[in-house]
Amino acid sequence: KETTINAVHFTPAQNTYAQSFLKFVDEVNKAGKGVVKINVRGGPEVLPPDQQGEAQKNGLIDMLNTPAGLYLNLVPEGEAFSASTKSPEEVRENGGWDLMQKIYAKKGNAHLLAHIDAGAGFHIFTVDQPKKTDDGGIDWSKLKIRSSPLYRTFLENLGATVIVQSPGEIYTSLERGVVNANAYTILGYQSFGWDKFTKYRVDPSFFQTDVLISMNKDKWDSLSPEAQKILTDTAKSFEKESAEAVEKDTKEQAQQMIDAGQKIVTLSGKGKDEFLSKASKASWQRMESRDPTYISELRKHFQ
Amino acid sequence: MDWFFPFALMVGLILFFMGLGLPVAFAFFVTNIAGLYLFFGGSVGVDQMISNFSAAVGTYALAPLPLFLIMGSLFFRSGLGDGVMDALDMCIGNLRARLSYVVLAAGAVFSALSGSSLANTGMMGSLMVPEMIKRGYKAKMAYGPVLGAGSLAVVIPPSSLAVLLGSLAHIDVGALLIAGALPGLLLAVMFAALIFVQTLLDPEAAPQYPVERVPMGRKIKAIAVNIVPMGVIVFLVVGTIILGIATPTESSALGCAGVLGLLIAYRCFTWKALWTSLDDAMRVTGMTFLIISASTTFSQVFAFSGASNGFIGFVTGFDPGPYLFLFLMVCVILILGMFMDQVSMMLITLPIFLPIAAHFQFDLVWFGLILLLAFEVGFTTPPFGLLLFVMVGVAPPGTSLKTVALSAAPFIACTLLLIVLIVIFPQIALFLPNLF
Amino acid sequence: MQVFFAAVARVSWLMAAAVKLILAAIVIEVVADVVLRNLNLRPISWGVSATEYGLVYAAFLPMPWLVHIKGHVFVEFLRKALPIPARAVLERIVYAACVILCLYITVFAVNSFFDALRTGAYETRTFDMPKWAIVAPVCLGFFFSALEWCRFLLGFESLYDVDPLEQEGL
Ligand code: NA
Ligand code: NA
Repeated sequence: KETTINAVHFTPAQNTYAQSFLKFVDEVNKAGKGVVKINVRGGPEVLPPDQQGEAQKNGLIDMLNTPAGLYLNLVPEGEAFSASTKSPEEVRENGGWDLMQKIYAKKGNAHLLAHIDAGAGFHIFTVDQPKKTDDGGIDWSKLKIRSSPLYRTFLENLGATVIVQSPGEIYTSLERGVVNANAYTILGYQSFGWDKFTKYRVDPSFFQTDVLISMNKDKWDSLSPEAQKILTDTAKSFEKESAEAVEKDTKEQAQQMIDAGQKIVTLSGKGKDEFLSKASKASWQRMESRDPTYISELRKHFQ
Repeated sequence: MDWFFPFALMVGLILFFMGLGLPVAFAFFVTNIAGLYLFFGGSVGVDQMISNFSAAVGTYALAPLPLFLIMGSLFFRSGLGDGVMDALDMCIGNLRARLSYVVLAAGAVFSALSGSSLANTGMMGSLMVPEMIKRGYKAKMAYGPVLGAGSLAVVIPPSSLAVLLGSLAHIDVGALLIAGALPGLLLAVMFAALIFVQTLLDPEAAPQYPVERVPMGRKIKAIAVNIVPMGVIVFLVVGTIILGIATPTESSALGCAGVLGLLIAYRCFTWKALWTSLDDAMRVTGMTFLIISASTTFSQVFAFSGASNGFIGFVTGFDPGPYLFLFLMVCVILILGMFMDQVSMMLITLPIFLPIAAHFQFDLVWFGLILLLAFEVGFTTPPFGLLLFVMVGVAPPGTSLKTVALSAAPFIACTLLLIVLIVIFPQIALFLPNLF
Repeated sequence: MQVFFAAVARVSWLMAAAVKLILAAIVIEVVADVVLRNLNLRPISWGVSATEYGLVYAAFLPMPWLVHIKGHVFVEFLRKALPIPARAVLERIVYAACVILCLYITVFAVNSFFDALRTGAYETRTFDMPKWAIVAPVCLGFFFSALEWCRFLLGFESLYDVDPLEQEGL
């Protein structure tokens, strides 16, 4: 008897992230023929992305393809995925994954399957050439950066002026000069047309994408061991496969933007160290203020 | 045909309850609850609906609606608008339906600066409609142009809807935005022609009250006293966007502050006028936002139940060749547009439409613009037409949705005609993008 | 009964008045944000999120007052097809449906309100907003709307008695 799992994803169906998830779904449905079947019910049109964690918790939906950052209200510790400098593989090996598994079960009524599309970080993109400082950093105070709530605190701590806007408004803001910088992943940056205005990319990247595939725990427990094994195995191999795909796509799209005239500004020395440490500090401090219980343990595995 | 039951049930219920006389928002809520119990989690789904409210209306992009309502209402409640209208009358002279043209022109200019139809309609509606009705304009001459101009906002760049469409469909966003400029302008001209025809067919629609002939000196004085200060507002709303001082969302608040400043400068500020304008804004916002919260869940249940995908799949399941296909896709959007918001429609239809467009090798910019125009029509089609609700809110008490919807109908016909023209002459859409 | 509904109306009016103040506060906040940014000072970091939550309040708090003043838009195409006596019956059914609906949603909203209080749930935007504060306007809005609809149900008021001069059909 085939079990059906209802799933939703957090981006529109054509988006890279949804496409990646749909590949996972295909793999499961192929391997699980007759045992388990994932039925994708849609994306943001079915459930608003920041409420999907709640819907998974209360069993409205069985499976999610949603970043941990979108339901930190339920599992604040999930921020460790984006603050981490380690790859999903390392985290699985050093026991961090099992710890997270415990936390997600307790707080989000969720069972984690995989941290997919990992490895890509966020970059700051600027319209004007950033002014370098003596310590290898950048004069952040010149920047008016469009941000999402996820990294707002960090950008403010850098000393930049931050404006929170939805993706639909950014094009016009860049065109009109309301903002002169933007923070986003390389992946998908061009699809919004922003690369036309932001001719400089600041390296290194900060944070990393934290897209998870997870399931409602009750639903997971109700699955046959055979179905669980199919899901776990496919998830594990897909975690690797998707990270490789992201790396390849990121490289490709970065090159396309460089070919179109984008220049890279690389931080170095003390400026770079400060940039990265401020990024990680902002996240860990916020996690600690929300719930300190697991923080020291998490630091051991993720930092 | 699994999709047919949820489709017929959801559409049937919403029409049934609205027809019985339940207020629109309440009819949506009743339908939602029925839908949730049948297709989407039952009582857990109702819990989720309540959790989703903050995502539905708690978005910054909706802020300009109340703010522009405050601005428009303040302008008129204070009596400041009277002088401006008189001055406009004086300047334009005896042109029939002159205020309709003014609304259209102002709305089109504002469309070139803001991408929000809701904000545009809220502003032009609360600024102009009460005055036009007072001066004896019939419904179709007052509401129609405001609604027409309002829907221009998503066609003429900038347009957040076009940006979203472009990024979802992997169409060059810049090209799609530019592509909207010429058709938008053409649409404005068609609207103007429509107003002219309507005055020919029904001269009583816009009363020809006599404007006294005034000497040049008085004319100039009237302009200086009334139009120039109006320029301050125009600068605050429009100039700050152009100069990059404020985003289109923020400019609405600057407009409010500007009108307040003018009132103080002209010594016509009263607390009562301020309180009344806040009242106007609160009423229209409360009514509209409640409908938005309710209709969002409707779209979600509709999507989850498979009704929308099934319906689209069914319609596009025939294989009648490219043009008939295009026609079917536009029809799908027009039908869904009667019940759903634009963003939900895009998310639902694009995954199915894009492969079809690729199959027929449609020019994506051309195709995107046609879709955009079709999505835009949904703003003013009943029973769920957001701009209609805003208009009912700012219109005099007792104005029915039917009156407003009927006055929008000829303007919708213009948009449909434009779609046909773009299909026949793709250059209307592609001329500008090809230049760059 | 009259006294009771007068008191309900008073509360409804107060909630609507609160929203007016919220809208005024949003104007001030956004203007301040723009001015600060253009003076190269740091804008109000919590401003955008506070505005967003203000809009949630603006959606639900005015609801009962809008019921009271018949400010919710409606159409009547099926109703109009009925003979006059049937319309009177239908009218009562509509009011009863609205009362039940509002109470029904109130029960769920109050439930999630207390759930949120108990668990300390919050939403994360630029600051953490307690969930009970987001659900509260929903509870108040639907509960007092139910009471306001009772006023219609008990025949103190009719939704459809617009001045015939102003009535334009549908
Ligand atoms: Na526009
Ligand atoms: Na519509």
